[in-house]
Amino acid sequence: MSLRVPFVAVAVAAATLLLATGLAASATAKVPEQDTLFLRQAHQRNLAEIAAGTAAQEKAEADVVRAIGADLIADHTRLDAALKQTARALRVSLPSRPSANQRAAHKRLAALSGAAFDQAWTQAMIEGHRMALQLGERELREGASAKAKEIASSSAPVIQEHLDRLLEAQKTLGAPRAVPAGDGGQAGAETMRQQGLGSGVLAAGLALALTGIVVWRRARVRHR
Amino acid sequence: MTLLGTVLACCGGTVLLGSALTSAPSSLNAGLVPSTAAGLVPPTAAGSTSRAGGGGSPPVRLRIPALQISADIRPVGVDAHGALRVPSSARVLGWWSGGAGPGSGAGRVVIAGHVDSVRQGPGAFFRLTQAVLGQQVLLRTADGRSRSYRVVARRFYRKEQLPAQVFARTGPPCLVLITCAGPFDRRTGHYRDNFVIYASPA
Repeated sequence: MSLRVPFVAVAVAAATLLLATGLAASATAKVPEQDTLFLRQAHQRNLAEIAAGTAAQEKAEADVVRAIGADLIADHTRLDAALKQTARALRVSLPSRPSANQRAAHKRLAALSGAAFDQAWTQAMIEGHRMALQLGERELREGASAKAKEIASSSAPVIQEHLDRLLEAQKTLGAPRAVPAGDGGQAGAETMRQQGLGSGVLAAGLALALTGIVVWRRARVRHR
Repeated sequence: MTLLGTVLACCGGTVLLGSALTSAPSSLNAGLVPSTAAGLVPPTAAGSTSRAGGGGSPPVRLRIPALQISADIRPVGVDAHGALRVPSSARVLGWWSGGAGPGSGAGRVVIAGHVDSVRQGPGAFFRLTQAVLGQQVLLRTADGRSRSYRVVARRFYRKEQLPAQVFARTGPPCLVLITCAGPFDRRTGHYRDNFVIYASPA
C-alpha cells in the first residue's frame, strides 16, 4: 500500500508529461513547414522593403522613386501588421531583421547616389517584388494553413501593383530628357528659307487666283 | 477671256492648296511610330537591355546611303540635367549606352547626332530631315556584324515635349535617330525642335 501511492503518483505524472509533450508537438505540427517558412520569409521581405523605402526617402533623385518608396513603407507596414497577427495566432516565431543577403543588398544600394541609386534601387525592388509574388504563389499552392494562405492572397494585389509601378518607372528612369544636337543655325537658316519660300508661293497663288477671278468677271460683264 | 480667267483662278487655287498642304507641320511627320508595349518579350529581357546595351554589340558606324550619311558612333551617357551627352565632335554620333544595343531583342537603339555646330559647321546628321519612309539605315557593330533597318516613321517634336517613349527599353527592336531641327533662335543658339527617325530591322 505504501508503495502503491508513489507508484500512482509517478504514473499520473508521467502520463501528464506525455500528454503535455504530445499536445505541444501537435501544436507545432498544426503549422506545417511551408506555412512557417512563408510567414518568416514574407515578414523579412516586408522588413527589407520598408528599409528600402526609407532609403529612397533619403537618397532618391527622381520624384517617382521617392513616391514609390513612400508607398512601400506604408503598404508593407500594413501588410506586415496583418502577417504578425497571423504568426502570433499560429505561434510562429518571426525573425527580427531582414536576411543576411537582403542586408548586404541594402548596404550596396546605400553606397550609391543620384541617378545610379535610382536605377539600382528600382532594379532591386523589381527583383524583390517578383520574389515576393513567387513566395505567395508557392504558399497558395503548397501551404496548408488557411490563415497563412489568406496573408498570401491578400498581399498579392498590393505587391503586383508595386511591381507594375516599378516597371513603369524603370522605363523612363535614367533615360535622357533632352537631346542638344545643334547650335550652328545653318540648318535653321535653311528651314527659315523654306518657310520664306512657302509664304512667297502662298502670295503668288493668292495673286494668281484673284487675277483669274477678276479676268473671269470682266469677261462675263462684257458678254452681257 | 472667260476660259483664261477660269484657268488662272484654278491655277491660283491649286497653288494655294498645295502651299497650304506643304506648310502644315503634320505633313513633315510621316509613318507610324513603333509600339513600346512589352508584348511577348519577357520583362527580364527588357530589363537586361538597360545594362550596356544588354545582349547586343555596341554600334560603331552608321550609314544612310540615300542621304550620303556615314559617321562613326561612340557610346554616350546622360548628364546631371538629363541631357544626352552628344559627342562634342559634330561629325561623330552618340549611342545612348543606357538603352538597347543593336540585336538586344527589345527596346530602342538610340543614336543622336549634331545637325550642325557653330564652330564646326554641318554635323553628321545635317541631312537627316530629308530621310523618307522606306530608306535603308545600316549599322555596323563592334563585333563586325552589319545590321539593316528601314525608316518607318519621322517626327518633329518641340524640344521641351520630347516624349519618353523615344527612349523606351521595351517593345520590339527599333532604331531611333535624333537630331535638332526647326526654327533657330539666334539669341539662345538653339533649335526649337528635335527631329526623330524611327527605323525597324529589315
